[in-house]
Amino acid sequence: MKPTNIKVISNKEQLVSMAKEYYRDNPKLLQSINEFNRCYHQNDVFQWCFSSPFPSRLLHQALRTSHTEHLDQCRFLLADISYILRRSNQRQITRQLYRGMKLTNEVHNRLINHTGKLICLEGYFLWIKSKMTALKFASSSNHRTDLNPVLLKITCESSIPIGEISVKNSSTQIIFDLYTVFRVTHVNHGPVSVVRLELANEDGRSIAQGYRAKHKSESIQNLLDQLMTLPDPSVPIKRSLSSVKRSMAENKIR
Amino acid sequence: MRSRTARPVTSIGTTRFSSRSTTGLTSKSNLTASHLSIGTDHDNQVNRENILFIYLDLQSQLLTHMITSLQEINDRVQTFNDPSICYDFLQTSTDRIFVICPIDDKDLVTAVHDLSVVEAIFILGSDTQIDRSQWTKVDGIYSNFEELLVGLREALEWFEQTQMNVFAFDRDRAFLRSQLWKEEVSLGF
Repeated sequence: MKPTNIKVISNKEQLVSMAKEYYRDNPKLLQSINEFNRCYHQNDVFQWCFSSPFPSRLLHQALRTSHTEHLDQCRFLLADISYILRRSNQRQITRQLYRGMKLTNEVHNRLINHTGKLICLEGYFLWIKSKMTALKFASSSNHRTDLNPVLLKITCESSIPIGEISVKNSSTQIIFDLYTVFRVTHVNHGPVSVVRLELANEDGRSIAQGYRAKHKSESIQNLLDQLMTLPDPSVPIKRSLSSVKRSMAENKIR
Repeated sequence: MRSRTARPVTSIGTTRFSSRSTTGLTSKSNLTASHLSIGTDHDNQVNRENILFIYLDLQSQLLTHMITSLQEINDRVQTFNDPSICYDFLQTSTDRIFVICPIDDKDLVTAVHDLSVVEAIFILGSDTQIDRSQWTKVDGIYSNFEELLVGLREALEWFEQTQMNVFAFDRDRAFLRSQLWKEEVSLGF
């Protein structure tokens, strides 16, 4: 499987045709696909990609899972999002943006140990201006109290293009362009860990350009193919349900 | 090589379900559906981080229109009639799983709760008390299907907001890949 096929032509017709096949048993999604087919216009790309069931579900799933075939089909949408982001010439002031999350120990520790280094988000994260609301999400006692509450915080300067998404029933949310690079500047420990980020797109570009220069003889397609994450070869140890139940019974007796 | 236009597992589930198979046949079909989602290495890669609803339908009460309602919330839905087969499937899954199950068998719920692949549990039943501090993954107890749908919708939205986090750290291949792709595809990022 290729990580992407750079040469694939991406347009609405191709995407719709693929999607009709993919969602053929799902009446709600089929309806959404038809509406998209009839009404899509670049000006409304945020609405389609963040509110409408299609193509938002497909797009965000594809980004999270690196589903390259779907991503290749969605490329025109990514381009439209990028275009609209850049076009909206809002007079921005330097502002703080937040995202409240609950992270597993593994990811939480990794972030903490990554202070000073770069990260990139695999998808469009939604940021908000209200620190209170973000904290509420992170520290919600109604959900997964076993996970680590984390507040991500970015101080955003006016020169960076951002997009405002209005999602129904909630306040405006902000997105950055895809694969924006951030540097973890500081982590404050506490009941909620606060991870401070700053934008670092130029550093991301340097890394990409450096890598490209080092492998001048290879085609970009080859390089991308090589970088496809290999699946974990380890076979998980499986236990039967009955043996697990037996252990539980034994533990209760003790 | 498996067709790359493969559809979500749901469609297999729906097709199988409408034939109203017995537990035995259902299990086999479940294995086929499972095979599709965890068969090749490529599938593992593709299905990583996808949300999957698993409905443990021990009494075979699930009707087609109920599955459709579930699919409207999340494309990928899979049903099981047999707890052991379901448990086996959970152990090898690479998805992020929301489990819907009855409360009758507390040991089963505990066993499922302990699997890291399970993100949230929705319990069907009424008048049941559970210890939320022990079972942190239990989202709620629902006495009817409509309420379950509401709970699932809210939980999924919350999950996507707060836990659906995929970071690529600068040592990861994914980081390099995304930056290279960004440079190359030149979408004006």
